Amino acid sequence: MDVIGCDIGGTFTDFVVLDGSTGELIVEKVLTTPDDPAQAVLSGLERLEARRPGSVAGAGRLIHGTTLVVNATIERKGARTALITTRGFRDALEMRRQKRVDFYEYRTDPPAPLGPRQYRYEIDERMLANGRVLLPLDERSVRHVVGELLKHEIQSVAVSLLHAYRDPRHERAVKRLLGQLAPELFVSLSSEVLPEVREFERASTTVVNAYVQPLVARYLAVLERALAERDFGGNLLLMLSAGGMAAVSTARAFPVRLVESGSAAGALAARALGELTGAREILSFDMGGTTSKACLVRDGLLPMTDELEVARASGHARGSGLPASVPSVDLMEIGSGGGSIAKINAMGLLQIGPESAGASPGPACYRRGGSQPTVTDADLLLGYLNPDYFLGGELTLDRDAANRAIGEHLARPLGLDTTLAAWGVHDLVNEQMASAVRAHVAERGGDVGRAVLVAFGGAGPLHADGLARKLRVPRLLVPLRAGVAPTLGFLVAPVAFDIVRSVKIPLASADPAEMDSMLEAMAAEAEVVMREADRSGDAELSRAVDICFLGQGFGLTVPIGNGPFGLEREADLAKRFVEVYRERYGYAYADQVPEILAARVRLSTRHGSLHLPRLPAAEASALDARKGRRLAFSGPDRCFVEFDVYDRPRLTPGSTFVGPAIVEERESTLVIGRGATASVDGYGNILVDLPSSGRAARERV
Amino acid sequence: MMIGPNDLKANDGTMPDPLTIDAVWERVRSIATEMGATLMRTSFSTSARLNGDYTCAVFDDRGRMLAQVVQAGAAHLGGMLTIVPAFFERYPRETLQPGDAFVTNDPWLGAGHTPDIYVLTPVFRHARLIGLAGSCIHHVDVGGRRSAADSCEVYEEGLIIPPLRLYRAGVPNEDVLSFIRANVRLPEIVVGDLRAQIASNHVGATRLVELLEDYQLDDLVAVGDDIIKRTAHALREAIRGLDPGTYRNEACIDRFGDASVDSAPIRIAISVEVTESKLIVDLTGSSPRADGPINVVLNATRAYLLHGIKLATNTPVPNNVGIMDVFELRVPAGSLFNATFPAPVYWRMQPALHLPETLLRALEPAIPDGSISGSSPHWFTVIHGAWPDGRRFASWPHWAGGMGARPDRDGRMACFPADIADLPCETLEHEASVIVERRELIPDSGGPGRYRGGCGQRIVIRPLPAELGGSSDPLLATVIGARIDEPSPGIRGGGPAARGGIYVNGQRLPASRAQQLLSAEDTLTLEMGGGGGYGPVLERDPAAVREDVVNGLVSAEAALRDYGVVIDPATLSLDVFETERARRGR
Repeated sequence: MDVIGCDIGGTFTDFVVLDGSTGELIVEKVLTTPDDPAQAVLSGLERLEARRPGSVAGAGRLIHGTTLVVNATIERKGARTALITTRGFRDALEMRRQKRVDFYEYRTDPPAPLGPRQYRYEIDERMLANGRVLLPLDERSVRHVVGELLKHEIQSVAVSLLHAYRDPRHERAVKRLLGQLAPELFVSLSSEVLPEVREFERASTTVVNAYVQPLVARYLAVLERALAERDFGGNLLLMLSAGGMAAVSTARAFPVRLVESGSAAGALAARALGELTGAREILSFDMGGTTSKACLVRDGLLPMTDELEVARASGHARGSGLPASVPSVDLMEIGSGGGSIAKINAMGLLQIGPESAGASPGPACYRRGGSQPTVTDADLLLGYLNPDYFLGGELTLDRDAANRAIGEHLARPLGLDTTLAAWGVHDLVNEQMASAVRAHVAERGGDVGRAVLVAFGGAGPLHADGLARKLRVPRLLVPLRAGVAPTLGFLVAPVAFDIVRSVKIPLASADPAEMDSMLEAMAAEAEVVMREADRSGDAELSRAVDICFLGQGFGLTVPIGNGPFGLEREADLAKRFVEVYRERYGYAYADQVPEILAARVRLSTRHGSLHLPRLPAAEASALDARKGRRLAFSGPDRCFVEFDVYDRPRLTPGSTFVGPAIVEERESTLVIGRGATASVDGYGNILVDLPSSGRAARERV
Repeated sequence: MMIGPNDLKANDGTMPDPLTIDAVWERVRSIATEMGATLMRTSFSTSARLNGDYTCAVFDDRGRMLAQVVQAGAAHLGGMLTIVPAFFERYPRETLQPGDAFVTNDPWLGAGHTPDIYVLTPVFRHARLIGLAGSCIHHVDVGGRRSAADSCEVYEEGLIIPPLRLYRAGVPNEDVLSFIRANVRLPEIVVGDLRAQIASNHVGATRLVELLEDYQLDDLVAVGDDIIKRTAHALREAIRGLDPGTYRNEACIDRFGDASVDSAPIRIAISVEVTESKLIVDLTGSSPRADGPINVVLNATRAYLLHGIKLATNTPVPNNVGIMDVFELRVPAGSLFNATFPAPVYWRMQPALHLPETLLRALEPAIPDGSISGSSPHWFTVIHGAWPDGRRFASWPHWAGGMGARPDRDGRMACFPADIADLPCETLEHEASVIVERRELIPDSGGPGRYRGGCGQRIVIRPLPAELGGSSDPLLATVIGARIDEPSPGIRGGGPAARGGIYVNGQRLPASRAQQLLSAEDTLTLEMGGGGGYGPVLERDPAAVREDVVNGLVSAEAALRDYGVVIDPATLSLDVFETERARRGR
C-alpha cells in the first residue's frame, strides 16, 4: 500500500509518496492557498494522480501536517470563545506570568488573550491542591453563565477550573450541564486538554483549543468529503506536535495538538536516517530560507517539551506568546536561514537577522528586488553556491548583486574586503546557530560531541560542516535530495498519543494504589484515542514519571514498567532517577528528596524505519562524479582554495573523497571543509567524518 | 571624542580583526546564556526557576564583566560590574588555583542585600588565569529574622558571608557549607542552589577554554578591550538621541514606617545631566538613611538607574563594564541611595524599584517618542510557615500592580519596571499551606487619560485550615507594598491611579508594609494600585471607554466621573449625545 505525506507549509504544500512495493519516492509541490488550505491539498493530490494514476484511491494512508491552527491563532481567525473558570481567577489570562517581552523596553506587548475579558466567566466551586473539595460546584452559577454564553452568541467554550488537573469532576459536571443547556457549543475541558498544574498555562492552552476547534472541524469535514469523492479508502491521519499521527476525531477534539503539526517531520526523518548509521545521539539540522530547526534525538527518543507557545510577539523569545503547552517535540527554532539579512549593529559589529528577506524579495542575488545582503549572498560570493545551478538551474544567481550588497552594506563600513565580509557573515551565522544549539542542550542535557548531525533543508548541507566543527560534532549525514528530505518524516511517523498529568508528591509518599488507578485511567483514555487511528492492536504502552529533586520544577522523565506501580519500589525508582540525572547533568545529589511532578502515558505503534531503496553497488570511484574544481573560500586558510566539485546524483555507494569539496544536487549544496573525509553509503547518504577535536581546533577559525 | 566604526577597527597588531571579534563576542554571549540555562535547570528554588531572579556573567582575567545572561534580576548587574576587582583585593590573582570557587553575599560587594549570593569560579588554561565565570541567585533564605521587615542593622538580616573559598582545587570546603547549612532555614534548597551556581560556572569555565582554543587566543583581554569600547560607543550614540541639558524630577514614594507614627515619606530627587559623552545622574537631595531596611547600596542604585537609562534610550546595548564609562553617578555617602555599613538593606528593592521610573520621568521631555507614566511596582510578599509534617516553606509569590500608560497605548497589568515572573496560585498552594481566594484585576484602579494605566490586582489569601490538610500553626506573612501612600502619577495630563492597600480581616492597615501572623480564621487582602494615565482624559475615545466598561475594567460611574463618558449601566451602550454634553462642560 502506498503512503502519502502531505505538509502545508508557509509557501509550499509538499507531497511525498512512498510506493509500498518498489520503495520509490515521488515528491510534488504546489503553492499553499492560505485562505482555503484544502484547495492546495486537493490540487496537489490531483497532480499526483496525473503523474501516477490511482495514487489517491490506492493509498493506504494519507498523513497530513497543517499550519491551520497556528495561522488561525496568529491571524485571529478562530471562533468567538469564552472561558469559564473558578470565581476570583478570570484574569489569569490577562495577567499572564507578569513578564514583559523584554526587560529593557516597555513598548512590546505579548499577544492579547484570544477574546475580551467580558467573555471570561466565573462560577462558584473550588478544588484544593491536595485534591479536597473546598466548595462544591454550584450549578446555579453555571446556569447563569450559560445564559450569558447564549446571549453573546459564543461558539466555543474553554473550561479551566483551579486544580482541575488533580480532580476533573467539577469540569465534567460543567460539560454535562453545557451539553444539556447549549448542546451546539464546542466545549474544551482543561482536565482533558492539558491536565497540568499552573493556571495560566493550562487555561491558555485550553482556550487555544477552544478557539480553533470549530474551524478545524470544518476544515477536516471538507477534506474528508473531498477525499471520499476521490475514492480514497485509506486512513486519513493528522500529524500532531508530539511527532505521532492521530485520527481525525482526535484532531477535532484536541486541535491545539496540531500547533506544530508537521514541524517534527525533520526530526523524525533524521532519526530514521541516523539510525541507519547506528548512532545513539542524532542532531537533526534543517536550515531553510527564513529559519532553521534543530533537534537532539537521544536513544531513538524524540525530546519532548511542555513549553510550546503560539503567536510569539518577538521572534523566538520564550514567554512572549500564548502558551499551548501540550506535549510537543522539543525543536530548537533558530531565527537564521539563507535569507537572513546581515547588517552592522549599534556596536559596529556584524549581526545576522532577525530580519529576513525570505523568498520575496529574497537575497540580493535572486534579483527580485532585494538589496540587503543575506547569508545566501555571502555563500554565493564565497564560491559555495554555483550561480548557474541553483535549484538545478531554475534560478541564476547574480554575483554582482551579491557583491554590491555585501560591499556596500558590510565591507565598506567594516573596512574589510568584500570576501572577508562575506566570510564574516557565513561564519557568524554558524556561530549564532551553534549558540542556540548549545543553550538548548544546556537546558535539556545531552552531548552533541557524540552525535551524528543530519543536515537537510535548502541551506543545511552548506552550513553543516562549519556548524559541526563549532559544536565539536564528529560526523555528518547528508541524505539524498537533502533539500526536501525532511518530508520523509511523514512516512516514518508512528501512530501515537501522549497524555501527561501533573502529580506533585514526594516519591516516598506516593500511594501505589492511587498512582495505579491514575495511570490506568490515563492509559484507558489514550486507548480510546488510539483505536480511532489504528486498529492493528500493535500499539505499545509506555509509562513514565517525571521526577525532580524536591523544590526543582523541571522533571526528568524516568520510564516505569507496565506492572503495578507498587512494584516500582520507591528506592529503585529513586536510584534510576539519580542515574538519569547524573547522565544528564554530569552529577547528582545523594542527600536530596525526589519528588514526582507528573505521570506520562504514551501509546504508540513502532515508528517506521525508512525503507529507502538501496542503490546498486558500483565499482565506481568518486572521481567519476567529479564535475571539476572551483575556487571557494577556506575559512582556516583565510583565502580561496580549490574545492573538488561533485555531482551528487552520480556519486555511487562506496565511493570516498576528502575535503575541501562541494557536492551539488538540485535543491541543496553540500560543502565539506579541509581535513574531513566523506563516503557514500548504500542508500546514497553522504557521511562526513570531521577531523577529531584537537585537530578540528586547529582547522577551525 | 567621537569614535566612528572605522576607528574601532584600527589594528595596531594586538587587536584581533573585526571578524574574530564578531564571532568571539557571539560566543562570549552564548556562554553567558548557556550558564543561565544550566543554572535554571539545576536550581532548586522557585526563586531562580519560576521567578528568574538570578544572573550569570563572564569576566576576563582583569575582572571586567564582558557579558551577562539576558535574563537577569535588575540589581544583580550592579554587583557583577564591580565584584571581581573587589574580590581580587582579598584574593590576589596569584593565590587562585584551578578548581577553586568562591562565595559571598556581602551586600556592599554584591547586589545590596544578603539573599543575593554570588559564586565566582576562576578559569584556567595551561595553568594561567584567563577569566572568571560568576553567578548570583536570590536565595530563598539566608537565616536571620524572618523577612527582616523591622531590622535596624544588617546584622539582623541573616548570615553575612564574606568572600570565602567554597571549593579549593576541586574539593568542596565542607566547613563553609556546614556553616551555611546551620544558619539557614531551608538548607537543602540553599545548598542545592549553590550547587546549581557551581554547575553553571563550571559550564562557563569549560566553554571559555574551548573558545580560546577555537580562536587561538591567549586571553580575552584584547577582545574585551574592543567590546568594552564598542559598548561605551553604542551607549554614547544612544544618549545622543536625547537633547543635551539637565533634567530634574522629584518623586515622593511611600514611607516605610506607619503613617500613624511620625515618619516622613521618602523623597527621590534626581538630576540627570545629558552631555555629549555622558549621563551624569545626581541623587543629592534624596532622603537620608532610613531607619528601616530599605537602604540601597551604591551597586544596586547604579543597577536600577542603568535599567532606567536603557529603557529611556531604547537601544539594545549589552551589559558590560563599558557602560560604566558613559554613566556617572553621584550620591552622598550614607544617604538612602548610598547606604553605608551596617545600615539595614534587606528590602532595598522597595525604594530602588522607583528609580528607573523617576529617571524616565526626569528625562521625559528629552525622549523623542515619549515615555511611560507612573507604574505600581512589585510588592514583596513572603509567606513563612511549616506543613503539618514539619516541612518548612518560604514562598515569594512576586505580585505587582499596574503598569503606566504609554504614549501610544494603555498600560498593561502587573509587569513594570521589574520583570520577575509571579508564582502561579496553584503552585503557591502546593508550596505553602494557604488558600488563594481571589486574584483579580481591580476595576477603576488604572489612572485615566488618553491612554489608561494598567489595572492593579487584588489578592485574597488565608491559611489552609488544619482540617483540610493545612498547618495548625499560624503563618507569617511579610508584605512590603508600594503606591499605598502615594499613587502612581499620570503624565502629560493623565490622571493618577488608585492607591493600593493592605487589609487584615477587612481592616486597612495604616502602613505600606505588614508583618502579620495569620491564624486559621484570618484573611489577608492585598490591593495593588494601578498605573497612571497618559494624556488628557478628554482625548480618550469614548468607544474605548465603553469597551473598558463592557470588560469591567472601568465602572459606568467612573466613566462619567473620570472621562465624561455616559454609558447606560443596563444596556452598556454609549450615549453619544449625553457624552458630548458632559465633555463640553469640562
